[in-house]
Amino acid sequence: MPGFHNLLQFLIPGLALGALYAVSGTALVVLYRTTGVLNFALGAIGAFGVHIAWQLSIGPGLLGVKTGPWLAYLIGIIFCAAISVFYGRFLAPVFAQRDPLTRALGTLGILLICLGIMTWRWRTQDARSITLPMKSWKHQVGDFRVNGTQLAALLFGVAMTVGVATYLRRSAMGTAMRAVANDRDVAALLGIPVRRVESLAWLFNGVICGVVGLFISDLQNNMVATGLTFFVIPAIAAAVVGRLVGLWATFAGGLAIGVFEVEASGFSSKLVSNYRSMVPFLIGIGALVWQARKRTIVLSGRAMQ
Amino acid sequence: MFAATMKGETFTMNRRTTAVLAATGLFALAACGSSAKTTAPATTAAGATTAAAAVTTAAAPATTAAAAATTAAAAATTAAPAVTTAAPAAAGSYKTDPSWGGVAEATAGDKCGLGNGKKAEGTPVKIGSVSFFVAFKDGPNAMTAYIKCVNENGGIHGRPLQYISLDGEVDPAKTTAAASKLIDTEKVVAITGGFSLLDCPVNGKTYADKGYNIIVAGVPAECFGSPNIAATNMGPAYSAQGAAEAVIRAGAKGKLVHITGDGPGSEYNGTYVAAIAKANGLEFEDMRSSQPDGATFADPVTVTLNAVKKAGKGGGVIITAVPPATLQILKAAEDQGLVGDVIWGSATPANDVSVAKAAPKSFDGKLLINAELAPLDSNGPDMKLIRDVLAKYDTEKTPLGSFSQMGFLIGRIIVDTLNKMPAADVDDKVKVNAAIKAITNFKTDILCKPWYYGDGKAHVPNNWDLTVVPKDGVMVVKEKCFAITPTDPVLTQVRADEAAKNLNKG
Repeated sequence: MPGFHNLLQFLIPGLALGALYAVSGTALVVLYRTTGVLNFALGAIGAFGVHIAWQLSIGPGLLGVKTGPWLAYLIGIIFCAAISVFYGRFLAPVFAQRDPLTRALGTLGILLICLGIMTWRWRTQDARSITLPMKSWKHQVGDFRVNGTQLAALLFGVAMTVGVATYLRRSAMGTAMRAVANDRDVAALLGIPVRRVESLAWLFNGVICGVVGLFISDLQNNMVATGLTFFVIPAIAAAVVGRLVGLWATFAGGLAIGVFEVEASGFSSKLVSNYRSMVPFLIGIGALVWQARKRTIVLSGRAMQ
Repeated sequence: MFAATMKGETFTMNRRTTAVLAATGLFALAACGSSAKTTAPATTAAGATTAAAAVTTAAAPATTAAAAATTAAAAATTAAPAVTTAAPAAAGSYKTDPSWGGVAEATAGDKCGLGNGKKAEGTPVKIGSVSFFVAFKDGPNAMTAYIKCVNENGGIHGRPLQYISLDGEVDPAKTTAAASKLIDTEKVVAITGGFSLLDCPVNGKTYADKGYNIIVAGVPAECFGSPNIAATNMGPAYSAQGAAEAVIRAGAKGKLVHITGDGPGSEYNGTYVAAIAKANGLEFEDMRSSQPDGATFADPVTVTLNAVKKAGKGGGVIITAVPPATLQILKAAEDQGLVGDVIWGSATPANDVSVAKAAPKSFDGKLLINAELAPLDSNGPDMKLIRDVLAKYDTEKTPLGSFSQMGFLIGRIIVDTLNKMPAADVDDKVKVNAAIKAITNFKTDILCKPWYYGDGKAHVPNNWDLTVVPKDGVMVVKEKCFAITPTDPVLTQVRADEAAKNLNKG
């Protein structure tokens, strides 16, 4: 059992990881609220972007082109955004009138395609990693060194959640997103550019995939495609905490998952540390049970038809 | 009333939607993520029982009582970063390479198979194996490439050799089914070239019952403790022990901590590290940590912090993990400023070009990696040939590394064995497997000592190692070939057999 001192020193890495879960969950919620699609491919798209960035900046280059790290990161993020927008613009509308489960399963196709290309192009047996420039900043807290990537991830998570919540509440596009989420057809009749609104949501989702992919790869020193792909699990759990609706609850859920996961790793007892992977499931299922404790009525024009 | 009813309906659908999505997302993906870990039976870990002998530390050569019987030279001092072995490995009637102490010649010469440039024709001779492709595909790839080369050069007495390599994943059912296909459907004459976590424990008895003497590159204990299985590698447990011996020679004090994953059979990996620690009066702790994707650690920073903390200043930390997971630990150690706190060692998977390139500079010369096979830049006939074969015949861009060396070597052994048999006998399973069992002292510059099969109750023919370290983006030899100290009944018996039957000598 770790002492309070140990718990404290793992707090910042836990919060950093949690912030990435939170912002990923936020991206899932925004997309779900706008398009009704739960994007299972979030982690896979992010992993693809990281591999593109690695190939350009550290690896042998792409199509004979090598770049500096920042440009490589930017291209990786743009690549993620492009995949996401492509799916949202051309493939997702095919499933738009289908039930939510079918719409969600469509993204599994993108996940498998991304995973297949990555494992074919970048051997999973090889050691490779990406290190963001801010990681060189370090500060000792007890036995633990906090680094710049952890702080940047934490700040990014908080800033994105605040920014998105504000944007959805105050901007015209935010209002349009909420209208589309409420009823796609009615919103279209009202003159809201539904396709453009949905594309924006997919674009946001893709950008978040790219940025989070870079952060998580650096935080965990992990560039194995499968490992990064399953990053979507805690993000979904965080979104479930927010009932796929609430941004702040999602944010809190993400932070909680990250902190509990990292703190569990710090336990010397294998009974706790070896089961850290269960944390997202426990919190997600706990949230579902909690949400089911009383019946609340939610209006939805789509369901009334 | 209508509205209220519809509201109720609406409420139900939203709740259902959320629940379905959540459950689907969490459980479907969880199933994908954990399928590789949950279905395998536990392997039987060979117990480390005897406290054979201590490895002397610091500047003294390894002179264990048990090892002394078989190791005339070997052993290395540890003070200087360069190669410090006093004398080359003890040789039989074969040449040794002075740069690393291993065999410098090859039984099968320097050509593929018969090396006559004639394309093989006719009914193929069938061999096959079961592997775990996600982790070990390099091995079957290299063997496949070599066999392509063989078939361009006369094959087996002019007939093509067909190598059927199947993926059993980490799934006992698929591993069993793959073996059945090889035996019952394909009717292979030999089962050679398997790289699997489960093949030995799951199919070992079937192979024995059917009369196969198989050659693998093994991971679990059963690959090294069976009368009908011999490997070209020594497996994670002996390799981790070799790394631990190097760490102890480098001056590790107090406690050794072994980091590995939590996959099937992983409790075996640290078995002999524990034994060698005990023999040297050191404490030991095994840390098996979660690898949700089966390859990388879920939280490498915490794992590394805990390991170094448990080992204490001046202790030793030994890693047994695939290259990406090893790199996670190395980077975490650098990030946390822990590189100099302990002496670092690693089992053979880290002897990989990608690790040498990606390892932090702070580990230059400081990660003592046990290498079961020749240095990747050595230039014996087999090492030259494998480079040529991979360049010309491999279609999967397989890099030169430990696994590809092992696969290539299995190919060399089986092709040489079949070509030495009478042409009329190569379709006779009984005679082929008798010939495999009769292999003695197969010389290859990929190993420290000649390889053999023999009729022993257990097989660890590769039981001499060297130590390499990453330096300036490549792996360099730190310690020349040395004998792994027998700490368990299996290796003790193997060494006794070698002495009695003149095996491993040349």
